[in-house]
Amino acid sequence: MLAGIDYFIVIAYLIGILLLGYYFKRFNDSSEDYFLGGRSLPFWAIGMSIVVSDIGALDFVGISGQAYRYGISVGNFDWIGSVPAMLLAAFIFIPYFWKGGMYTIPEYLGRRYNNTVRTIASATWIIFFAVDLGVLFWASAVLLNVLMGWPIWISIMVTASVVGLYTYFGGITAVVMTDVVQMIIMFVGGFALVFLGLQAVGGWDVMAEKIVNLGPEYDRHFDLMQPSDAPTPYPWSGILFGLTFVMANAYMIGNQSIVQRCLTAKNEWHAKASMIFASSLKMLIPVLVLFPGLMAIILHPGLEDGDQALPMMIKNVLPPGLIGLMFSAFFAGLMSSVDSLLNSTATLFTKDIYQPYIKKDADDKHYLKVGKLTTLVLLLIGIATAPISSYYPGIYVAIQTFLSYFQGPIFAILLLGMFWKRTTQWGGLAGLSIGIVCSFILNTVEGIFTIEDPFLYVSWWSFVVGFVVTVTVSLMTSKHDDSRLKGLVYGA
Amino acid sequence: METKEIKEKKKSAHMNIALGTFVLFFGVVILIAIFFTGTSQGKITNAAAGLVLAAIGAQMIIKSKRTIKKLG
Repeated sequence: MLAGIDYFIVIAYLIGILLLGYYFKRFNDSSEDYFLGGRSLPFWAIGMSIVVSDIGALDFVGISGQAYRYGISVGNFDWIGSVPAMLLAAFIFIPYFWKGGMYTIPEYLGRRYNNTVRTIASATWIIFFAVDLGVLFWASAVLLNVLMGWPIWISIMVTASVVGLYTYFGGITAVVMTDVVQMIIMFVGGFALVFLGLQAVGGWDVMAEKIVNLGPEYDRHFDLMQPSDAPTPYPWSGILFGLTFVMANAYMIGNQSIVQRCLTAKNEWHAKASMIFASSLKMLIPVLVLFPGLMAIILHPGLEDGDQALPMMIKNVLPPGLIGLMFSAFFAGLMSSVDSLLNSTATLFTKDIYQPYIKKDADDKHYLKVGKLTTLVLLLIGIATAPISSYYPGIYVAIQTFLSYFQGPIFAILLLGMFWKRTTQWGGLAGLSIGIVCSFILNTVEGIFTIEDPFLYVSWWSFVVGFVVTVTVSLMTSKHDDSRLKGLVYGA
Repeated sequence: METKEIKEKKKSAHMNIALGTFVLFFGVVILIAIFFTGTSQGKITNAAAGLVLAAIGAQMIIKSKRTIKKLG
């Protein structure tokens, strides 16, 4: 439980972020303002927002916990598993999405393939985001319950009210700008924790020596690449094929909540620069999330649940004031992930489902209202589904597993759609559908993979299946006219 | 009449003032927390973190106010 100054900081943070978000209401006059910030935001704000939305508090807790259990190999998620994909997104994909004036990734898929592909992709993301929202509400509630002693339901309602209100009123501008504050606080708190943690363990060299001497199970804690038969979820083969080739690209290029931020940029240069700036910040993330997990092995050995490593470090290493700030940073990360999901889902629903299927030619104010209303409905769904998350023990792995159901096939059709003119609408539809079915089979049938939590392999194989099916069916169906591909295919 | 570019710059500056105020406030709170900290190491860390936050916040406010003044 927190006390005194730390309690004050957490409360002040919650009230402050609510007021800050509400302040951005004044910048929303149209649906373009609400969903794309009027296409006027600067690269540095978008870049920070991408990082803080991507990393979030779950990653702080989850990756520290994984570092405690498996060592530094989990850092691949933020280095090789992010940076190359972000550069690829910046130079190839983002300019196409931005120039096309798109609101959503499924909108691109709809133009390149057909509306069925657009709807399937959009509905899949909406379902994922809705489930993820419940998970995040639950995680926030557990955090507030532990820190402030508030009952779980009160904690869920507080989180939902704060994030819901500022996202409802401020739209994507509030989301991006509150993320800027959240990232500054996360980095300052995170580096303070690393600094004091290193002091407590006697420095990096002493810590590394102590960990390696703990026993054979710690032999590979400082190996960035693990053998393919290593008893971890992060063997080199999974990292290379599943993470670097598929999940990272699918996440940075095909994830609505990431790409939507780049589409808020004031021009194409800012759109590209935002992703490049985010990738440079991303390289610092492992320092903030891995080190505390490793230090906890020395300072708090024998923890049953690795996810306790970071909270224990904060509680026992940081001084008063910074404890409150760091927990606010935690909460900031959670709120940032929640606000991204809310706004992106509202955008997906309004632009990909409501506008094409329910009310086609309404005026702009109507779509603005629908976007806001969708945000409120999502809040209620998130609140109602939050308790389901208590049945899943490893939140980080659970989210990665959910993602592995569809990221591979979506990335396969995005890649082929962007680079291969011969890809047809039927190829894309078949590749997406069969790829998703394949991930379901790989995730649910037992005994296919020998490692625990094989989400990296599932992503890779569902990508391969989606890719092969798209190519095969495309070659069997008649190709599209060149005029239809203009501005949608690289070089066309 | 204001051009779109000037409007966007002003909008950006107003946003930065709001953000800067928030960050500055937290910097000051962390500096105040020095008085609640027992160890000298803790005091130094709080001072450093508080000063970093306060400096970032103040810089954002000052720079944005200058921009607004310049744009008229």
